[in-house]
Amino acid sequence: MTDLELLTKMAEGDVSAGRRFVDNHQVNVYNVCYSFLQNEHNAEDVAQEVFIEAIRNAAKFRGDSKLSTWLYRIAVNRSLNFLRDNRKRRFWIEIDSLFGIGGDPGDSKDQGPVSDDDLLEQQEQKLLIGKAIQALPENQRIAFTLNKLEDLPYAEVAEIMQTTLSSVESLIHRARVGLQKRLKNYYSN
Amino acid sequence: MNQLRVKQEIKPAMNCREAELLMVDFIAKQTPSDIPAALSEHLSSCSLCMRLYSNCIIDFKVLAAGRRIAPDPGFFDKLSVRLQSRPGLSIHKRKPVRRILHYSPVFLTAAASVILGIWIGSKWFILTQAGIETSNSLSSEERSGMVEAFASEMQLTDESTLALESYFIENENSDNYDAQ
Repeated sequence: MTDLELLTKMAEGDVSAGRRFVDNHQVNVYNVCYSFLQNEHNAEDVAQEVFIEAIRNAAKFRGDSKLSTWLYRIAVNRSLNFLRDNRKRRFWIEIDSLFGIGGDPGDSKDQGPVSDDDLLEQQEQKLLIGKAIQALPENQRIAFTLNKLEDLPYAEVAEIMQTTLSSVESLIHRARVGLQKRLKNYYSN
Repeated sequence: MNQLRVKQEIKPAMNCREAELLMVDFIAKQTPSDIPAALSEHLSSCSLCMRLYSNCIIDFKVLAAGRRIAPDPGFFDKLSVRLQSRPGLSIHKRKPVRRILHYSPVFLTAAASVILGIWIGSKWFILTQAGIETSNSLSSEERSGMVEAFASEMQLTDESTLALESYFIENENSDNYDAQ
């Protein structure tokens, strides 16, 4: 049975097909999310959202690209949206503390598991390599992450990013140069 | 010839910048066998690059510790629970509502203070207007006196006009005398 058939059956409520489909792709989807989010809990959360979106939009998949490429695209978009939301949430937390609503950082526990991970996330962000990758411009970060960390070929990266091959090459080159400078600065200081 | 050979031996085959770029390329490779021979050669001869590479590799190993190599057996069950419990709702959609509820005391206080400000302002405006009207009515009483004064002044003017008229008439008569 093909991946598309499995996905269609999963969307129709076939549990065994769903389990097979998810098991086939969950590692790759999770790792893409993890590469962007650098946090296990958030990566798991977003990976589940990716599969939910895939089930919902199963009928819209036209088969122009590989199903895995389509899943990667959803994973990248979801992860970037999560990061944007997180940035906004942090802004609101700062506003909170400005008005004195937030109180102790421990009080944020009642906001759910995402807030619970803030400390861990902050610790992880202290890793200079992660910081350097996250500091790259968005397109460069996507191209670099998919090619260098996820080991995807340029052609698939171009398909995921819906751009040309030469554009991906240029983005990766700029990302390499940017990272090289950043890493040199970070580790020499 | 001998000097040239010595120079070739000392100079590494790859410069530091090229080595750093290659490090970035192979940052995710965990085994030393994945690293190209040229980079290994440079690293063995350049302590600065070796230190940079070691730091990058150590950091990347910590960062990559959360990656998965095998599927999580509980993932599908968690996904099923999520699908059943919130069929039409994603985590991102719930946040703004929660946020508004969370910030409602602040927004309510701000809105209340704005409404209070508008109410106080309108009251103050009404009182000021009433004051102006009162002062206008008082001056109207005084104005009658002023009008009378003006009228008397006009009266004087009238008298002076009469005096002037009589003067001109007299002069006219005197002119007539001259003409005669």
